[in-house]
Amino acid sequence: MMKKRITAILAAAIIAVGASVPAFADEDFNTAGNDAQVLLTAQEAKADNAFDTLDAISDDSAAVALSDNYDTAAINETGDTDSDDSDKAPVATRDIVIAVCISVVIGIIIGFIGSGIMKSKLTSVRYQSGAADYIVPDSFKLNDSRDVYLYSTVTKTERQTDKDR
Amino acid sequence: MGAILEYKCPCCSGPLQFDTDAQKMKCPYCDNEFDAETLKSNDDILKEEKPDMMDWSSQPGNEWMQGELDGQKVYLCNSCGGQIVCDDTTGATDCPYCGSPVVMVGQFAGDKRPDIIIPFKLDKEAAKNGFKQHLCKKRLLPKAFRTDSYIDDIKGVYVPFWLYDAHADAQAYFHGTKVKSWSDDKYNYTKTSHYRLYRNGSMDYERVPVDGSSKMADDLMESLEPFTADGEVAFQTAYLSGYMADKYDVDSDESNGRANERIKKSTLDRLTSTTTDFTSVTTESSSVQLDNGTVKYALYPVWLLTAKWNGDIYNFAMNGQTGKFVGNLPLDKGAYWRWTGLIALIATVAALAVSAFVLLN
Repeated sequence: MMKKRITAILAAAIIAVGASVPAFADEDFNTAGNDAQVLLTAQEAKADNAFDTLDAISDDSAAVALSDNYDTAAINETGDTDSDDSDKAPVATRDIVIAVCISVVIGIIIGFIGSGIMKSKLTSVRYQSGAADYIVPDSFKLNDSRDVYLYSTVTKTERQTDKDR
Repeated sequence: MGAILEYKCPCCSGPLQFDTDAQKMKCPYCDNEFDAETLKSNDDILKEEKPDMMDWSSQPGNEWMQGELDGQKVYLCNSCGGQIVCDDTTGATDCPYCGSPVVMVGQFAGDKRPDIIIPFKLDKEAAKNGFKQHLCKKRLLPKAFRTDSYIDDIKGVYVPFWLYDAHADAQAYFHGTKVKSWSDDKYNYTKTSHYRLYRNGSMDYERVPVDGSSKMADDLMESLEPFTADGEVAFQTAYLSGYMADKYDVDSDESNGRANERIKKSTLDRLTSTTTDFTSVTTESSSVQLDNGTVKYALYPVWLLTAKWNGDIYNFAMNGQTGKFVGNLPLDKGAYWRWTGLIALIATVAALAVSAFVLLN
């Protein structure tokens, strides 16, 4: 059951990303017109099929997640929505590529960190770094403590405003 | 040949063994229990080691060749007369012929006598259970290791340790910085203030242990810490019966360096912990002086386990007082890469979802 649930959530996320990428990857986003409608139909068909498959193996929560993602994808594709999308600038392909690259790098780093933590559990033989376990409780006395001010440095950097961008 | 000691049951003459539950000497044959204190008088015998008066005739060719026993000693079992050959540091063991627990008298006599001992609190079954628990929740452990590995050897050993007590005075100079940031309409400002910090403190240490046996891996023994003073008692040879024991072969002078290293590290850490008002702190110089330093000789209880798998030998150890279990385990490289890929995939998908959300909003 747990494996099915994980599979369902992964499938939902992948389909959501896969369905939405063509929407903002299209350089002719503003002039897609009828082509977008055709693409939407294809995406609908893909999503419907995935939804049917998912529904068979998953529970209701995953299905709701897929449905939400599917709706988002559809809205992005057609631009036919009540929200005020006209104010938003189209997403550039360069931004998408950068986002995907950063996501993959982050994923790989987290992957190695996660497996590294699991790997560290196999090693329990190591030297002690100190003798903190053997300090007599309440025996520590701070006999002298002095903080002498030496100097300061101040750096200033120009703030970036919206106009600079 | 050296002399050995066996604690015999006054009722049936069976070999007495130390019982961890009752914390008394117990006869495995008639189940009678004897307090260690009542057997203390036997220790008086141990202090007067007498010359061996047993003149055995041996056939030519049956004698040990010259140099063959270098680093080893031969004892005769009082129960069956069998020869017990062991390292010259062995202080207690079992007769390989009749299984009787024997204690080598001379190993703990005179100035080699330990000051204190922590008797075993946990028995062999606890060590076996500790091994099973040690294998749990290890996703990268080869599955075959759980099923195919087997404990090849398990023995309770009293390991010699040097225990250091000292009063430590320490002085340290640090370089500290405080960083403050603010902004106005045009600029972001960062002010870094530099300080020289001086700290002078003192603290006491008790029973900092350093392994006194060259046969035991130092990192393995340190991994078993801490041992607590709760179960410490004055040394009596009766506690050794039924277990292996070694006398030290690394003297306290050789062990001083490791004790000093650990004490200095913890002392400076303690002083550094008083500089939390600063953004960053680096140590410029430090010194530690130890007063009233004393060293005690102790025997600590350790269960040693050896497991075999795939032709390799894996060593494990359990603290015989607290039950802490340590030992390195093999890595399933296939599982490592599978888990890395799976976690990376999930993290990538999550990062993509966040990226999509940010870009679309």
